[in-house]
Amino acid sequence: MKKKMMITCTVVLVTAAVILGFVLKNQVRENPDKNTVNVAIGQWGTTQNESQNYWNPDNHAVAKGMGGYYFIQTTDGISKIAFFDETTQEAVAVCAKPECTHSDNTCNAYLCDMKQTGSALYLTDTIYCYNGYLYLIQCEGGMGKLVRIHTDGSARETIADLFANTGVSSISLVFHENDVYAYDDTGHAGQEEEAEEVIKKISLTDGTEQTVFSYTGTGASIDRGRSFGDKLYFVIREYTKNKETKAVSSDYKGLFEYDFATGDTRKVIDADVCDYHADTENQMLFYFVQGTGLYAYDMTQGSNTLIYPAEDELIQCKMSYDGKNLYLFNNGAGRATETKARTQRYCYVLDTKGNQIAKILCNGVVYFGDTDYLFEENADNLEYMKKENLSDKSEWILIN
Amino acid sequence: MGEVKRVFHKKMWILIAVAVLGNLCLFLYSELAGRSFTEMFFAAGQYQKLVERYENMSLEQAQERLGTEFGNIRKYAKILKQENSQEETKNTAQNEMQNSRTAENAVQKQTSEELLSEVDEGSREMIAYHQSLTAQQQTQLELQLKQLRSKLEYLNGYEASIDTVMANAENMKRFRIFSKQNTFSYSNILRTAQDFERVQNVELKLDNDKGADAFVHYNLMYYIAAALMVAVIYSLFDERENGMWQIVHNTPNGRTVLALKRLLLLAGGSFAILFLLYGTTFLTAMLLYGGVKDLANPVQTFVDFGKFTYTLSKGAYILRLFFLSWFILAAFSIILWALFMAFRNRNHTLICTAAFVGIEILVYQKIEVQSVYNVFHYINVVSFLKISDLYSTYINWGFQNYVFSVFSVALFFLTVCGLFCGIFAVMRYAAMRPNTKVSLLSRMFTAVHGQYQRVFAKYPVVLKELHKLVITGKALWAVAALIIIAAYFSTTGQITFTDAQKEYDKMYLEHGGKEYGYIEDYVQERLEAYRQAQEALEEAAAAYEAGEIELKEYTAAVSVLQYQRQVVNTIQEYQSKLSYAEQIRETTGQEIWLISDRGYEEIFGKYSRQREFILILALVTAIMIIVSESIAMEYRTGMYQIVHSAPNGRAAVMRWKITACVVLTIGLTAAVYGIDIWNLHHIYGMPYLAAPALSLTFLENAWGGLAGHVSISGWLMILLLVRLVVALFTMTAAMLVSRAIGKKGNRALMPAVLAGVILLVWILHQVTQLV
Repeated sequence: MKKKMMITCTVVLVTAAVILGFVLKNQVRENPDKNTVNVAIGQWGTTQNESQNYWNPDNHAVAKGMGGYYFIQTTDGISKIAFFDETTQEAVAVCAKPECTHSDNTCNAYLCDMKQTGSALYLTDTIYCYNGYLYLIQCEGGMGKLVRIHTDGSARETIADLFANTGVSSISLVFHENDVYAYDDTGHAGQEEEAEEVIKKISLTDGTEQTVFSYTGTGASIDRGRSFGDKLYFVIREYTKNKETKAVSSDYKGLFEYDFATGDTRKVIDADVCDYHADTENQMLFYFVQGTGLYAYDMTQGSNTLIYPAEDELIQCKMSYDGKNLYLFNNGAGRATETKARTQRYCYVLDTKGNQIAKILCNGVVYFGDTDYLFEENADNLEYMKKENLSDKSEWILIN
Repeated sequence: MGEVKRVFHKKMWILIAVAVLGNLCLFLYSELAGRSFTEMFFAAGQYQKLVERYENMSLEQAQERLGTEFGNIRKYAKILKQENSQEETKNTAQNEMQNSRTAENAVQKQTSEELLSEVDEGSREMIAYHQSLTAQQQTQLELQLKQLRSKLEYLNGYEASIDTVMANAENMKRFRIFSKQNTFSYSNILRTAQDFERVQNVELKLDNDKGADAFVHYNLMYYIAAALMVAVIYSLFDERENGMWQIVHNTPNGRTVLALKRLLLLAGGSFAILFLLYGTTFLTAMLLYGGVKDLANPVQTFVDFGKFTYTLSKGAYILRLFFLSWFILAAFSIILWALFMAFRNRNHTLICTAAFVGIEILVYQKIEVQSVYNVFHYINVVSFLKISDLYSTYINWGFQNYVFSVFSVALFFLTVCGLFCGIFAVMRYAAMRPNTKVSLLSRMFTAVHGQYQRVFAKYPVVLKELHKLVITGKALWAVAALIIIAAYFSTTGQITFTDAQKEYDKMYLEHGGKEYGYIEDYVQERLEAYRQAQEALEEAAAAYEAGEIELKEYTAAVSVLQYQRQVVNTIQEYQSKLSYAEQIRETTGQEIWLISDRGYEEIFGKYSRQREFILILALVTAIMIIVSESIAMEYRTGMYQIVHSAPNGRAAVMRWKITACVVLTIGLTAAVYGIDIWNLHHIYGMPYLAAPALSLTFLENAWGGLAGHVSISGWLMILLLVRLVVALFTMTAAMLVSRAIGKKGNRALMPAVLAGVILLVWILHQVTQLV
């Protein structure tokens, strides 16, 4: 017995020594003599707004990371996670393998091949960056699932099932502390039966979910979710049909506020609000009433002012606020005099007093951006514009 | 030596010989790829000649020359075909006009003679050779030319691809997401550059590596070697069932020393088995394709080895692969031996091993390589048995500054596992006693069992035969496993339907079926509403232009049109269904019902294939395992002579046995598919069973149009009947095997027939996918 114990202990010690040697042998040290580029970057710090509210909430195709922006790039039908570096002004696939061709699932950045599957395995208009991780939506078996990925693309993990989805980019997320709030921004739009729209709260730690808000309506959807402070804000859109006259109207039912702490929801603005944004520093709420215009509500004084009226090419909009200026994107909706012609897409840039700084012609859906850049979609490509010295003549730059 | 002779007895050598021959047949079959032997040998010969033609040129020259000559061959063949077709049709009046047109074209296009006079000498030579071959041979030659062209493209691009990797490594360090030091990303970039630097100066040349390439990519021999080692290990434990355990345990050197000898036997045995399989396959590949002299060329000449970062020749790689494979096989054998040591009953170990391998296969398939759990994908039995793929694929793992190749981690893990399992097995063998104490529970069980037998003696023979199959033969485990598999796989992988899809299904349920006028009206109403919304918007635009209405009213009209557009999108499925119904009415005169495809596609459409395959495989395997004991058991226990001597002990007993087996088979089939249908019905529902099967669009052309003659319930019955027939066929095969095992005492026959039945099920599965 003693002999056997000795043999066992010897084997264990030898194995441990071999393991240590193996690990040390595979330690990589950079040769200091080589002419390498060292970029000094600091520790991961929180941005002013961790949940990045300045992006288009229901077309969240870009997310800010450390030193650049993450987005989903589709080339020849192959979608992959890409990173636009601010310093080099170039994009690169989020795959730390120099030998990789980024064209199959051995690549860390690879998402799906649209040509092969016919419908996307990942929603290509949905990417978030929060607390050092990327979050995407994967569609498998008809279910949209929340997937967490390291920021260098190195590992993927399914967190929770969200909503039934067959590849339509309609699931939106709002992050707050250690949870994510998910809703389907298409909802039951276009359907004539009553149905329930919900906001689900999912724990990022263990994936447990609960419904925190529900709304029953006809052809309804929850849109434009954002968090400011300790509240979650969103609008509800509903199509109503008069059964006698059979007339149909599409209205926004107002701006709603959900309190993260208490779990209560209340309507804060009862108007046809199609989008909104908040300046939490100055306690200002900006909201756009469909067909009427942009209002500024000063919470300290209680004053509510129409600062920019609606016009021909700005009947409804999506909004953004980067801490300095307001951005209103008309989404290509409603040009009064040329109903059959393709509606021009514009992004209006206003200051907080409602003075127009620029009216930028756009090629596709505008994703907005932070204080430095504005982003938009152009076919399958991403374009950007620097925010310094914006004017009507500012041009979009294609990211290859 | 005694152990070697005991384990590697005559039958084992016959099994090994059969395995080696079977392996060679499988290798040849994989190389045939649907061709005949003549075609295969011809293709191999052609490839060799083509390599000899181009190998003395530089790679760029070879690629250009081959491209030109191949292009000219095709061009000449096309012109010749046109000329021949003109010759054939020039006498018919109907084709006079065509001839005149063709004749006109012929004046403008080249003739074959003109082409021959324009091209270079090499092309003329190739064209002449191509034309001297038969049509089939020409096809083979063109295939070889295509393969060689791809090969040359790869060889020419290799140096550039390595330079690209080095350039990428430098370039990536400029980007912030990769440039943070002390992170795995950064370290991996450095490590990749260091690894690929090793092969930066490797010079490739064109050679005949078809044989070596085919050999290196052939993995079945490792599976066969593993199966043979399972048989070897199984026979190491014969002493537990032939009464020799007590004697062996008590003889000098019968414990630890014997265990160490068996350890060496496993290492040596795996070497010998692998050497035979490996060597014979390699020789066959070389005889088939040649290329022995080219084994000295770099291994990167193989097209799939563009990212292999060691400077080895092909011969050296093949040799290294042999020793790696041997090491892995030996480690597996030791781990399996340790598992056998953990259980007293070796059959229980086999079942556990089979279950473990099944789980490993599932894990390997389900876990993606990008997943955070991909360690279970790479450190996996399936992955290890694809040794060459694992070794030649460039993938790294690690953390911070520590970067390891996946292969080295996997091999290391296996080594440590094997070491500890080996120690455990040796120590356990020495300590494990042949006899255990009879516990109180065991004595109580014996007493109860005696009473039970007295009562059971009065039951009919058929029930006793069933009892023998299920209880005495310990087949309850197989039945339980079958039920669990049926329950699991009939609920796994279910599709979640969106709310929109559920709305469609609700519409079909309430207003679809035989009379679907409501849906037709519904569709027409929505189309009309959209048209009206378009008109209303045009009027609103004009009115707004004229100042007759305000912006708000105009906005409302825009919203209404947007809404109606979305509504039209939602009725597309109904439109498509109505159009299908119209098409069936016109082509077959049959009136179908308007029902949803969704649920039925999951139940027996294209989404059900994997589930159905697993269920039929599990059923067939369970039937084989259970029924194969029906006759063999009596021979093994010595009861055969008593039964055969008793009155009604032959034909009558056989009839009762067959009845029992049929009842069991029908029972198991009913259980498996009952659970399956119950669960599927619960998940997806089965509405409109009386509807014509053609109502389901995916059955339009299924099984030669059989769906046009039955209802959906009829179709389900046909599917069940087919499965029952397969099960009964398996039962018959199992009874024949049982008879053979019993009479000849050859228990190795059962696994062989089981493997054959599984193969047949797999073939049927492939065939039904084509129907």
